[in-house]
Amino acid sequence: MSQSVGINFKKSSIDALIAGFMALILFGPIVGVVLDGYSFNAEFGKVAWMVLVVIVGRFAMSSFFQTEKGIAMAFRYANNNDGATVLPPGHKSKMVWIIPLVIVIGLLVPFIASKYVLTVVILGLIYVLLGLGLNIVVGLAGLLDLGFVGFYAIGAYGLALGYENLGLGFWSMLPIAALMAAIAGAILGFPVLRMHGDYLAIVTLGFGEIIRLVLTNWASFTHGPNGVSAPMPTFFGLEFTRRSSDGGTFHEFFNIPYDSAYRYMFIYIVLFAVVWAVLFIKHRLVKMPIGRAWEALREDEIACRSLGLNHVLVKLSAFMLGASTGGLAGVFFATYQGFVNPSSFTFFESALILAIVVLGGMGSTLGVVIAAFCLTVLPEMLREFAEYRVLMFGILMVVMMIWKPRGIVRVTRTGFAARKGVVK
Amino acid sequence: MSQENILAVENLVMHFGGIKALNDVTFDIKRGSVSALIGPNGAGKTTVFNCLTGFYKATGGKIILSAGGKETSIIKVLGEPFKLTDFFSPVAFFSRLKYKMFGGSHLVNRAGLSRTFQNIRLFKEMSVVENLLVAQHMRVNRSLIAGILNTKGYRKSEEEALERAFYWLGVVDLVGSANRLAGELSYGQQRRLEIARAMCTNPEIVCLDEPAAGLNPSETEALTKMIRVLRDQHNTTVLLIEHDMGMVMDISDYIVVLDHGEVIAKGGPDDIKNNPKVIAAYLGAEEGEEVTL
Repeated sequence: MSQSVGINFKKSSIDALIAGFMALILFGPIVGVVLDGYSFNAEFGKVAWMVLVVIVGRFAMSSFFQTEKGIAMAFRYANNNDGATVLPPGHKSKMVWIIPLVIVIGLLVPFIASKYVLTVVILGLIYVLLGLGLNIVVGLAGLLDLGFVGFYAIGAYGLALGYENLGLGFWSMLPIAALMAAIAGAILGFPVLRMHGDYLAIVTLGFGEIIRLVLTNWASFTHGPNGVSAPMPTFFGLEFTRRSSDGGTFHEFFNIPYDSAYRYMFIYIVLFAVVWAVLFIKHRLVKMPIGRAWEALREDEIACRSLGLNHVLVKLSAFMLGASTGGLAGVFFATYQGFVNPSSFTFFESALILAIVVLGGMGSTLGVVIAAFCLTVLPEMLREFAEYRVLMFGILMVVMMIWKPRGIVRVTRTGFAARKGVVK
Repeated sequence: MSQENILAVENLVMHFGGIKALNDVTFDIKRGSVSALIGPNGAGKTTVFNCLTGFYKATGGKIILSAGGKETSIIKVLGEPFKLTDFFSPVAFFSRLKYKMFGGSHLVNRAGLSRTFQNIRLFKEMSVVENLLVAQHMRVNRSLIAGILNTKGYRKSEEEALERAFYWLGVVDLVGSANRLAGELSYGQQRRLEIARAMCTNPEIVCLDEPAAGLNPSETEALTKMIRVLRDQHNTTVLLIEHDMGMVMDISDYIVVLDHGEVIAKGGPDDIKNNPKVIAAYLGAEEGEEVTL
């Protein structure tokens, strides 16, 4: 059979029929049978449409991959599995132009976007923070952490309970929550970081669940499932409410009419600044000895020990820095919602953050940012599809893992210009 | 302190459950020598290596490393179980507690002993230079604040680390591959990079586990030269495990022969070559039968 000329339609048809049969088995009971009281209705039309879409799609795909362009594309994806690329020394990143542009657009968003869009973007940025935090632990240090949501919960409850019990506001809780999360990371980390791989994953999974269960059951302190209200941020002591009990309000001070969107605009701008600060620190960290040690640990723990690196402390530092970023995200989440309760911190959340890191590309900062936005904004856009949201989410992940198993953005490594070797 | 012996192994015993891998192994390594540890397969050579480098905690015996102006007991830094006397002496108690909590094989490296591995253990997804930079972790400016702000002191420390890295790349002839991923290198290059990485930690004694395995004769010759450079120009003591007898006899000042977890002979290459016990161990001999080559 010739390689490039002509499409073997028989093969495409067989592929399409097999896919259609699979779709029939899958969608038949899921879509075709709808409960109606104690009986059910069979909706054959819906199933037929679904199966038709799958057949046509599979036929088109199969045919396309037999054209010259398709073969080239398949080849490119098949050979896309190798790891990082090393940039030539003195490489100038295009990001130098893109970053200022993104900052300018980002600063314009609160003034042009509607309140709804703004809240979606805030949620996206919170997940960027979470992704960046987990990326240190999973992407760089290679420690599979399935309980990351625990640190997120510590940050969020830190703000809510700190305000309720100690009267601490948003600004004082921001650093304190990061510190608290880091300490929690250390307490969890120290005894368990001697294990690795699957064992560590299970222990961290347990930790995340313990935090959630404590929050649910310690009702006298956390108010259990009823949740706690969290304070809004203040602008130099000015509140973003219509009327203030003490001190001034933002709109009265500036003599402008009250708008509930001001509050989100302010949260957005603070969050935007914090995300950029974290991005900068993360960018520096990977080039620093500590970042190199994390990656070395991911590659080979035994070799690390043979080179004098204390593997427990290196892991602990990754765990603590990752956790503190999670804590920061938690504070923003609490202030953005104005209310926290344990149902926001389930295992699904941990899995979602892990998906962000894996889809974005382990260790890649840009990839994590893109993936965080995709995975939070996309479900919002798919609201009309309601119950199919999770299904589409799953399909997206499967497709991504087949085509880009190493994540959206490939990791690049800095190249170093040759130097005159000196030994001291 | 310029003691004659850099490494003193006394009555080393290592048991894995009921299996006695090492049984009363005693030998000394002279400072500035090239020594070899040989023996048939399964003799316990790698077990000795793992005990020396702190990857196994020896069941009994003593390993004293005299490097960096002090004596380090390798078994102690790995963390020993508490003894009854510790509870009456707070100093001993806290020293033991410290090693129990923070001890480990990394302290052996910091005491001045580095190693390579039989099955190469490089950081494969990192570039060649980065592999050498990781090895200098304990020598560079590790301050988080200085690194994030990119201060002058930090940049100077990084530049020095890079210069040292390129020096060692020059020694092992890998400057041209500096910016490739370590995993992409050929087998021989990976072996050389691993030696360079071990040397970047500034050790006084370097332990090479089968450095010539899988190399062709010309590569083995280059390796022999390199080991001489380590000893003569860098005052590094070299201890190696090797199966290539030609290379061992050529390069070693001192040879220790192990068989069934026991030292059966020690001495210079000529003594070993003519030792009937060694020949018997390698060629196999009936009980009491003398074999000559």
